Amino acid sequence: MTISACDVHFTYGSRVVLQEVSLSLAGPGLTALCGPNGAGKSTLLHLLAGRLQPKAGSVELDGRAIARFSPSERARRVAVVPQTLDTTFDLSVGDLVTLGRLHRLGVRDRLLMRPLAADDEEAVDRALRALEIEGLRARRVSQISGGEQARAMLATALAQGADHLLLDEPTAHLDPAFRREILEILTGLARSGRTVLIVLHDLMLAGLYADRVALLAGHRIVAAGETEAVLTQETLTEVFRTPLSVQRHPVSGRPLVLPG
Amino acid sequence: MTAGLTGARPRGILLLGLLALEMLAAVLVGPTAIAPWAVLSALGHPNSASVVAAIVWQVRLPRIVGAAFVGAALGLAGAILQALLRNPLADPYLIGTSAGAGLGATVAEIALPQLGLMPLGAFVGATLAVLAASSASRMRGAGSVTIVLVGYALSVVLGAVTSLLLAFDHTALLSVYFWFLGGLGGVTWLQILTLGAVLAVGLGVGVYHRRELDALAMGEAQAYYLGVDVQRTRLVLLLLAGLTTAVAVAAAGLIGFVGLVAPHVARRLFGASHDRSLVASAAGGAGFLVLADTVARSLPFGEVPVGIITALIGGPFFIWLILRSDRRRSP
Repeated sequence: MTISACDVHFTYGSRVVLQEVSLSLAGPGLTALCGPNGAGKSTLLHLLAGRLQPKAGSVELDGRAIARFSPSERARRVAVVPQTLDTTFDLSVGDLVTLGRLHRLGVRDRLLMRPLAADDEEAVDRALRALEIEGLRARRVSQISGGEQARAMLATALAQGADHLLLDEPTAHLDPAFRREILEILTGLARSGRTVLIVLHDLMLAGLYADRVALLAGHRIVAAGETEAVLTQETLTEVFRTPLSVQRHPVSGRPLVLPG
Repeated sequence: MTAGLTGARPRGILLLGLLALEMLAAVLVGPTAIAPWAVLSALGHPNSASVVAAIVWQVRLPRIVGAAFVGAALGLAGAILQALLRNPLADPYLIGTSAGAGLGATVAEIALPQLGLMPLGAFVGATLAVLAASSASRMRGAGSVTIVLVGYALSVVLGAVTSLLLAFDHTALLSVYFWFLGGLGGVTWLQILTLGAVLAVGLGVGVYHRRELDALAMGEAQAYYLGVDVQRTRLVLLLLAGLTTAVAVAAAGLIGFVGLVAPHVARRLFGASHDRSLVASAAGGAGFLVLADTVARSLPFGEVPVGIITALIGGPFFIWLILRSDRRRSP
């Protein structure tokens, strides 16, 4: 259960985005990828998930280059949750989550227009239940709230059955209550054995929920490790070029990043 | 499986039943007044030497079955294009695929007359036009109305080039023009066989990829993460849209709006997922074109090209969709 980037270099045309980036996601846990705007966080996520190819360096999933996995093998191992839901057509929540099983559909199921196989159906049910949206199954995605949409996207990823979940700013469009909900769900998923990487703007959330934090700035990883070790006043102030202070959360005792 | 399906199967059967009834009603209508019972009895005797049997089997039926197949091909192409271009306004006629087929056929007829390469030319032209429209749709920041405008401009340019070529070559003009304006009146059983074969392949490939269409409609990145082989699937489906458009154009000329209207009606009745709406788009296209063609040949002042009827119905619908999509964008 390891995704690792090793000495990854990436450019868009002549613009350098990432340089000598190495990052390893090993074993269960919630890792937050933080950094200033334009640091290349999303790019790194797409590289780790195999959609972008590094110009130099390598990205491996369990020791094998991720580009060498077939699309369905990869989808079985790695799921990515986008920032916003844009289905073009107004799918039902059930149809959306069913797309998580797309990589498993066999030739006969496809051609005979058969309903989903029992185990696929079961996986969709489990994903909907895990996110407590089984009641929304027949609702169309335009009719549910932003928080419910975030849950539906997460349920789609869970239905994929992947042990690696990568999320690109899933909380950016949500109000504080939903942010907290989503992060608590993600912590739960990490506890249950999944490797979760979340691109996060909000340092406060990273301090409160992440097991590990990686800081990306100036095209490089400037710090990575246990949350407590990475989120220090000196590092943050330097990386974000604005005074930030790190307190203790009065209840949980976790690092609490505040404008200093 | 999902909630909609309990209602989708009966609705699907109802839709197919309506289509069959509509086709039956269409056989009863025509410029030669024949009593309904005579038509029905002729339907049972395809090899009878009677005039009624000849009218029913050689004039009316090929035209009606042809309309159904052409309509189904256009409905299928429209549904696929709307998903791939992520654009509910896409239609093979509006985004230039049909015009590409027309130009391709014209070039084939002028360059290599007598070889009967017009259908092949139509396929090549339609495919190139569909690839052009799809690359335009992948440009950053192009909204759905922009893409349709670009597609429409493409359509106008391809049509102008076709007219220009025909102005230079009067022999080709005759055969191509006859073919373009052919409407559904000239459809032969042989063409119907070709249409039916292509339609069967098209439906098979489309049905095979129906969930991929849902995934691709979420954008290429998300489709990739869901395990879709994006490059291959896009190419297969674009070629399929080109092929179905080309056979439709080859059989019946340029007919607009069927591929726009049918998928919308199908999604409204069967839900947005292509799991159920894809086949319904084909069936809906068939129903729409059979109806339009029956109207086109039953007008009191004589027959008009069927494209006029589909435009009269589809055009206002298209305008309504554009206005609605604008309103949705500006909150």
